[in-house]
Amino acid sequence: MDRTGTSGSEEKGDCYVEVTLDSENLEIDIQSKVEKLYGKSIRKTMKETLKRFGIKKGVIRVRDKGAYDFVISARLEAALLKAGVKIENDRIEMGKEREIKLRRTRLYLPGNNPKLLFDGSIFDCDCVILDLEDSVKIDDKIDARILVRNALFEIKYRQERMVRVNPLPLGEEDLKEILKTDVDTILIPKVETKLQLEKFTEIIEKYESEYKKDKKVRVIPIIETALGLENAFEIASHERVVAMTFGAEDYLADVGGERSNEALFYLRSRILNAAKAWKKQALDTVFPNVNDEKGLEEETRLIKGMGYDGKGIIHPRQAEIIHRVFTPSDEEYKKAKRIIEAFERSKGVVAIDGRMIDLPVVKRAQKIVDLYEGR
Amino acid sequence: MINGVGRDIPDEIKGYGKVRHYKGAFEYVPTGKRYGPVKKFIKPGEDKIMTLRNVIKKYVKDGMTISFHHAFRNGDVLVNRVLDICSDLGIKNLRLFPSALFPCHEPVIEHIKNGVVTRIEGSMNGPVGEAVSHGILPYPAVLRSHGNRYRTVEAGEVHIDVAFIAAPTSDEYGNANGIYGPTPCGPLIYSKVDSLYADKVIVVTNNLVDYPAFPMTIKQTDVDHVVVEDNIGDPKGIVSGTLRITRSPRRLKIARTVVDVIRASGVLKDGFSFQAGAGGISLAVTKYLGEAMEEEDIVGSFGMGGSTRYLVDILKKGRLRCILEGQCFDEEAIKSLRENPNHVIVDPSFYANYNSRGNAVYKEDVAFLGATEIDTKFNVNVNTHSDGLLLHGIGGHQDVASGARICIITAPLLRDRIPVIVKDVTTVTTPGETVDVVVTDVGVAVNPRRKDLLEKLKAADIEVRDIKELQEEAYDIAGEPEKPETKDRIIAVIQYRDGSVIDVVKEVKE
Repeated sequence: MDRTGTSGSEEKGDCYVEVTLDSENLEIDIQSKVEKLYGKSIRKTMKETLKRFGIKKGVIRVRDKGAYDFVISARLEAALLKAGVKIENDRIEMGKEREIKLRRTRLYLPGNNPKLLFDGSIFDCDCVILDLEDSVKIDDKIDARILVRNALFEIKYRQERMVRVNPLPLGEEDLKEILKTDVDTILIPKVETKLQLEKFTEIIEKYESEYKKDKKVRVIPIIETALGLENAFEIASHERVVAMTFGAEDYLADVGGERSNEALFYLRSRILNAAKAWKKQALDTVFPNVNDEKGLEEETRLIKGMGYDGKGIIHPRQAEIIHRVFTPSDEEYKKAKRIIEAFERSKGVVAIDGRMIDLPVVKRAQKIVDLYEGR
Repeated sequence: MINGVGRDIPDEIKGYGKVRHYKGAFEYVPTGKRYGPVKKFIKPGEDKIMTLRNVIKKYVKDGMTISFHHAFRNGDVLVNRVLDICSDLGIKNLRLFPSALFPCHEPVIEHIKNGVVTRIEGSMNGPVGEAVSHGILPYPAVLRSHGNRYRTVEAGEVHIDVAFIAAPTSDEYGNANGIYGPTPCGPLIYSKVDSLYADKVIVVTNNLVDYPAFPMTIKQTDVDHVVVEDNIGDPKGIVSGTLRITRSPRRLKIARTVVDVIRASGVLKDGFSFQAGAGGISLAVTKYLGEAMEEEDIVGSFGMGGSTRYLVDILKKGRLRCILEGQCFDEEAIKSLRENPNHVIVDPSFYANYNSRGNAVYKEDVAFLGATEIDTKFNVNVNTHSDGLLLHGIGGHQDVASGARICIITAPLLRDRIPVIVKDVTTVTTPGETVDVVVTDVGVAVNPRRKDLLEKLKAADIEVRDIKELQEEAYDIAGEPEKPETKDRIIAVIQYRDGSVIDVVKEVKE
């Protein structure tokens, strides 16, 4: 029986680990770009990880390109799993509830890329999505799952921590590992019915209680089909759901359309309405052309005007443009403040600059104040 | 003795001599007279043209000091060519005194092994520095800043026997410049001091023009001989390495923060001046700064080169009264020297000579410089990597840091796991007392000496963090790096810009 597993790559910030278990003794062969500074530390990480999983025999080769410890241990764990070893990482982080108001931008980070997962922590976006689904090749699903879990353990993300899991059954394996961390929000792809969503939330509840966690993760379903859209209102009603979003490309493939704002108009309107009916946020999809800054700005104005609360991004540069569109000007802010103050003083209908101020106007003003102060 | 940046330096170093210890950035007060060069003479009608081989045969002897400039950077061919001939002629024990060496000078290693070169005093970027780190040079190398190289020669601390000056344009009398001809390299001004003080001055050109060639950066009054060669260097080599705006979002974030810091510090107004430079982050800052000057509708007084097209762009838009130029980093900058009368060549003494009555760097409002490491005392290392290898020169780092009113050091918190903000830098190049602000991708730190800046930054809502906190964050994620093991032997001496010894580099263990 050939029990061999590999994980990782020789890209910058990553390491490649190869494990062969058919051996009489333990052999560890490490080559590292940072040998002089971290050679001892890498050996220690390897030994601790092996000890933790009770591995006493095997040949382990490591080719390191400056990977952090959490990457090295993730690669080793994934390689062992792929070699068929039954192991279980018992570290559980209780996590803390974070108050979240703004979801103007959520940056997608490919789950099997250590460098991008790490870089993601410093950018000025409201949320990061550590992605296990479309950006990860089918052969790398285990590697990405372990890596993303470790990244959530070790990287101090300043943004809301989101993970996009795979559809079931792979999604259950994802949740089992990811819920051990301080994750805030789970994105669930290709949701078509409320029942389907409930299957996910049951799994979530199972692991939350198994791990004895008080923190309740939030859920954002991604609508990607015609059927999903028909059921959007019901799906949005689920108590764990904090926002609704959609995948434009999958939806268009499903209905046989081509991407344009016109083609997406019904989808956007209906998602928005389903979300807002339950006082949830509505989040727009990504704008795929990173170099078209003008196009991004126009699309952001469109969705903001519709009532959307934010947009997905695939490059940190896009965040600046979206935040600019979403951030009210100083004048808008001052005017909104005046409206709220005047309304509070009068406790009823009032006029400013000859314009009637009623409750909807006050609510809009409050949103402007929130956006401005939350930036 | 423990010197002014806390380094334990011996009072005497074998092969270097007695050490003048670094005390503080402006503690040393020079006394005495400058060095007096030899008197020269020529009769009317005498010919200066000679071949390179004959020049070397006639003037270069065992144990002499020969000098070069680095305007062609990684495109230089003259250093290798001269050393090949020296080797051929059996000349030994030379002291090489270039303003800088680059990866193209890897063949120098062979000449060290063969005993042709036994001493190097100058910047070493890349393979030569690495070889020196492993101890192949019999004498310790000496590293100096641009300003200090000029000061050293002028003070008579290094005597140049023969100066070789690769000149893109020259007449037969030795009037030479670097901006005309088929292979221009820029101002050629690093060789100025060599031409003034060397016993023999040899101009080597591939573009001999009718008398008189102008502008006369190097003058007939100083030049002994003119050599004509087919190839003196490839201008493409100038644009090697770091001369592209970074695309890394992390580094771009640093560049934006630098501009925020400059705005907050209140210097961005008419008359604004700054030091530009190469390096991905610096180029991005220069570009953003140009945009900010446009937005604020201000006209700055001067931008100090090494210049690039990004600096030239600002000049062309009328946002700077002039560029003061020491070296060009791309073709656009060289072209601008030909076309724009307000793009002015200045020598390294005007730029940054400690022993003088004024430096351009003292007139700079802001400088933004890179770093290999920065420690919690704000000391900066640009010479050695964290594994102890000597891989870079000083450039103008110490000069600019000591002069500019606000010296900003830019660096990511970590590079491929290796912390950049550390407890103690491997080598002190630039003392922390001359560094004001550190801008990283995870936050800004201000030297506690600059309370004024701290308040201005806070008032502008820039989040300022303790530098120790940044260092801890780096170690937290990467782990504390092991100290690289070294042998006892000193392989390089790092001078401060005043000629004192600020640090030494020891031989690395295999």
